[in-house]
Amino acid sequence: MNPLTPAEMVGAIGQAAQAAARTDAPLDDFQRSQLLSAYSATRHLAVELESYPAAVAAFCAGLADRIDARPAAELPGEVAGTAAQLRVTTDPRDAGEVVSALLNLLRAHPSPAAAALRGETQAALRDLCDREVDLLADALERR
Amino acid sequence: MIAIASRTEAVEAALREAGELEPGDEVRDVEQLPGGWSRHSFVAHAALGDGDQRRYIVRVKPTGALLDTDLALEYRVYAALAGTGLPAPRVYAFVASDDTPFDGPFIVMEHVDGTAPNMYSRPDQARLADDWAGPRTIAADMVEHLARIHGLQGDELPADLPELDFDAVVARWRSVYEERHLVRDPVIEEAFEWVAGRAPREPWPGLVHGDYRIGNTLIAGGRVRAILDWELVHRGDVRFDLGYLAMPRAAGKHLRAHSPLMGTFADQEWFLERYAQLTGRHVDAEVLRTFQMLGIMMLLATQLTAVWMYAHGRTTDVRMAWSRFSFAGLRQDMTRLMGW
Repeated sequence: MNPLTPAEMVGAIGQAAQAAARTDAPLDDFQRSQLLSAYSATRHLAVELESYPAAVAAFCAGLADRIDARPAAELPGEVAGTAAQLRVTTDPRDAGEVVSALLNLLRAHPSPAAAALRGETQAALRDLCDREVDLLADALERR
Repeated sequence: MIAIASRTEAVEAALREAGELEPGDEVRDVEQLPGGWSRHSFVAHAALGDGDQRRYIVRVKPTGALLDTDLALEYRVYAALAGTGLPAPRVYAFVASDDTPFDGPFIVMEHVDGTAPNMYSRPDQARLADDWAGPRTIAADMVEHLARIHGLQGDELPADLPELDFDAVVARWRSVYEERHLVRDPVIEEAFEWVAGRAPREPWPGLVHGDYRIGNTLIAGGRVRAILDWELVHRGDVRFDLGYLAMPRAAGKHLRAHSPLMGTFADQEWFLERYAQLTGRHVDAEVLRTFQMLGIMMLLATQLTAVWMYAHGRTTDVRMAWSRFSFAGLRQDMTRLMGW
């Protein structure tokens, strides 16, 4: 659910490398810090490209199952399409849009079923956040 | 080279007009320092007529700065701090024009000897842990200075400081999310709902530094020699600074925490107890959680803005694009604060 796509990040890294390569004078501390940030970005991005799609797919499928398991009559009508949307979502940014809209609906609905599904959605998001951190930390802290 | 030459001339002219440089003194070069997000920092080297050398810090608000804060007010805050006994660099000159060789208005201030600890650096964390395990002078300075900041009286600082109560702070950072997010984030949106419903019943009004952390200090000889980065200073609920220091991020957590110390320099219970001794105010644990979330909101606002600026071609600074990688750890901290 992070802003900027991986492709946009690749472009940003490339621009930083190009700017450094075109500098005639020795790099100063600020310019070196730019290259180090670009290097750090490659390390994060490598994990994201390799590991996020499966994690996001599991999150979306699991949440879709939880929605389908709830009686539709006890939930806001618009929720009905959310599970189907999640089952075809592979981009984490799209998942962010769909789940944000879902939570908006659930917050505004007074039924216990909506409150319960909101809690389940939060728990699924928590697990996804922990998974994202673990994936990055495990890879980045492996020296 | 033309730009660099004109920067030295601009700094020299500002210092000369302020009476800080004598006729035989001259600024020889100006070099950009790493770090600095919404302000860019430079060091200027001056050769004095008597053969000595002196350094100055130039603090610039560049075009399209990360936070639209008032550099003129910041200058006046620094000037006012000189009379308070708090450690802060002296300021010599403020150039208000946007059309400068630095691409924006700038302040020229004293260069204070010392190092700003990097809260993510393991060696810096180890040095601060050594202070905590030993003399605790840095920890003591940090809490004593914060208590003094919070106790500064209205007539000691500029009268036009922003006043932001709890709701105004939430609204400020929420509006940044609404205006600058490139993708919707369900955790952030839930967190705004959570924090908005937790306004403390009794405000603790006072002066709020707004970005009080070890990385915004200069340390030398085991003491805090200067408190920097006052651009977010305002009158408001002083517990913001406590919550901000209590964030895992302030202890150097990017993904995983590596320092058990609050802000990397003190045990949290000790810090809050010492703060209570100095101010007579004990912060409630639940209220502290609320202000931790508010601190995260502020960080998110800056990171969202950084990414937005890069995406919209307002900057080529790759650190701004890199900011998107800081969301994972902050998102996890938010889910824990909300007890998910």
